[in-house]
Amino acid sequence: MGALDGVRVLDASETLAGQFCGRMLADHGAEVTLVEPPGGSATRAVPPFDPGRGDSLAFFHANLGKRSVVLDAAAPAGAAAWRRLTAASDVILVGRDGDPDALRAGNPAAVIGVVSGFGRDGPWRDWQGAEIVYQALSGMMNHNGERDREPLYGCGNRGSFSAGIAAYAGVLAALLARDEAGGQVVSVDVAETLSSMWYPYPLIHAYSGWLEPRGERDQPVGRVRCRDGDWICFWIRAEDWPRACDALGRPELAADPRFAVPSERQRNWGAVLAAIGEVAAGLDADDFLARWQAGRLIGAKGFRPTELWRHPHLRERGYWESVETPDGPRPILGPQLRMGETPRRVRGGAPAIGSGGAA
Amino acid sequence: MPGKAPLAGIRVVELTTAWAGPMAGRVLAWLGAEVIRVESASRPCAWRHKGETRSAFRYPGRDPGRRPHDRTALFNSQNVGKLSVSLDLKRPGGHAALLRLIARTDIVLCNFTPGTLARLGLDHAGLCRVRPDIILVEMPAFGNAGPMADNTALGPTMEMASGMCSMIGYRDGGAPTYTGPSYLDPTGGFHGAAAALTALMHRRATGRGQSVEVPQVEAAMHLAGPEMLHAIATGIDPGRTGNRVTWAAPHDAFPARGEDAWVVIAVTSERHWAALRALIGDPRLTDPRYDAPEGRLAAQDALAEVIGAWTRARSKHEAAAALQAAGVPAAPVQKADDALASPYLAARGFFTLLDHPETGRHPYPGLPLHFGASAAGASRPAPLLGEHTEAVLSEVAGLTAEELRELERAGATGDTTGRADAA
Repeated sequence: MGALDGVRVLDASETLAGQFCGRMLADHGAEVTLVEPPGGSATRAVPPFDPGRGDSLAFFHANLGKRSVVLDAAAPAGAAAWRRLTAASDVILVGRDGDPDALRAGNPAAVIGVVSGFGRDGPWRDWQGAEIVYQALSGMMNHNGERDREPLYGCGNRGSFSAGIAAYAGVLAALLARDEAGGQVVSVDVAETLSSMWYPYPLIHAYSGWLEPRGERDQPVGRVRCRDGDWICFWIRAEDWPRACDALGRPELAADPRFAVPSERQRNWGAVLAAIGEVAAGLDADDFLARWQAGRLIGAKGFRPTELWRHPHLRERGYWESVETPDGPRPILGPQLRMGETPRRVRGGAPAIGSGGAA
Repeated sequence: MPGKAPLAGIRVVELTTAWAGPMAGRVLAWLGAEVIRVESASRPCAWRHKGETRSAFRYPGRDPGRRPHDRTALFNSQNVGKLSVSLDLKRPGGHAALLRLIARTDIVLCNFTPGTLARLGLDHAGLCRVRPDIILVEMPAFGNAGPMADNTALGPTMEMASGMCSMIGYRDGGAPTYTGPSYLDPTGGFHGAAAALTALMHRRATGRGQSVEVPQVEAAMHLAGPEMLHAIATGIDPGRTGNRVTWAAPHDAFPARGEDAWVVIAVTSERHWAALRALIGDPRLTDPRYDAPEGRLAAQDALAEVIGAWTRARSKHEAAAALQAAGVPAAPVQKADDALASPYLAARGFFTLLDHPETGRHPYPGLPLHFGASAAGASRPAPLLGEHTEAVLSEVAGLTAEELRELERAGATGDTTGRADAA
């Protein structure tokens, strides 16, 4: 069984964030109907696209296991269908232009999830979002890259997917409160979600006035390039330094006064990076990492997606799964949450437009 | 008039450290759960910085003070709304006291490395003996099993292992880049909370608890799910392209007036391009080659010069506001002071002013979950180490005054961390 068996969800969010929330609800047992405007959801045009089939992989990832109905809300038949569908739903996901008050009036017991970029009110209500926009506003982007160059935004649509996870938590909380509170509106913005995921630099600033510049770190973290061109990332905790020196084959560094205590090490972090980089340049990444981890040190290789696809760890864990679709099996990512009693179940691929029948 | 909180009456015991686990607990506290951190004075939460001299700016007035573990912005940011019990499980009586607390608990949240709970006799089977319907949420970096399961990890190394960093970097052969400076920790935080809530839904329907594993790296790979699937389908890994993308232009960060000031612009439709061209009004942008995305993609450096001349003449906030008003997706790259002054975050009530006994009154970052009818939010500042030891162990776990004194004599319930700066 799924943890959310019996929960009926209508997903008219028209945002990747809202649709990923709906997908997580479907993964855990809810019956999710995607409502698309004539011509299909706007997220069907979000890159990247499958090289063979040509469909949007962003839409695919965010809409697995749903059924799709097409509905023209401007037409009388569409409006009637919308009223009928919303009246029969436990959860209704809408975007910025949804009308929660009307939905509440029509179905007071429903949880209305409003999932959008900047929300239904507030000074940025009419702002246009994009991944780079959300990342810039959140503050996270300011820390990515080098001090004297431009900051880097990231990749893909991580902000929207993050907000989808937050919205999933919010919707479940409202469902748990339903006996007590009845239906209600839950609002989640992509922009605020990313602000909440930022390192606590705003609180640090409030405590001490400090503004952390990009490229300088108050943290014992670094990346080095190994002989084979692959990259290793490591973090050296206070108590790990002597073992790190042993792993590097440079035990004498443990006694070097520049590195003797954490505060001195941090002050001389450039020299630490140089010493590690020198050793890494003579080793392949896997060999460097084997030595490093034998010393119980924190480190990881910078994997590329195709490496993850083949990786023995993920293979042994059965991470990559496959879903049956009308045009054959397609790979999907494994579960975010491994529920002991109620494992997620992906019931099918992303729906073709209107494949769920008449609205 | 808000009603009760969604998780009113739910009790959580947190055995967590650093960021991801504590953030998961903070989400549950925001939703109204009673969240109790159990930490030992000898090995408290890593974000209390025991045994490390960290930069002074993490402390109010840049002064670590006599109790630095209660004064750091890191710990105090992620533990808003919780209680703290100081309990050393390795001292006599500590373990038994924890089990008595867990017997009165709905959810145990843990982000220790795999195997730690079992060594402490606190694996799911052990917990079920004192609380048959317990929900256990574990948050191992690489899962509880598999060749990499015992690799210790932190946010940046997890992001590298997730494949995401390989897609982020300057386009001239730059290094794979981690972000935020840690994106995986708060991702794990939301996933951990989602796991607890999913299990609560199941328990409400069936009366049964369960054990949930949140493998943080595998879970976070979903944030770049479409890019992963594309690489799998093509056999080609995406390159590092700075702030540009392969499918639209201009999509970049441009310099604004002032030091290290940047404004980002994302033209992803012809409507955006027409609006940008009209706003900037430079005749060089009217070249018909730029009417199609392909033409703009081929001329990004030339376009950047024209756009950059316009952005350099304005502050990042002015430039972004003008662009957005014209219908172009744009934003300033904000810093901590910008966030604190943000009219958008103010409208959301993102920061909550809280009075903390060791640090005074400051604005604490919140969470993006807003409810129309239920109470939710930051109820109290982060707890001092061991602030609620006696209250929780007596009132919740049911220990007698004599039992509490025995724990104290055994050194299981101290509230200081010893030397502040061990090498």
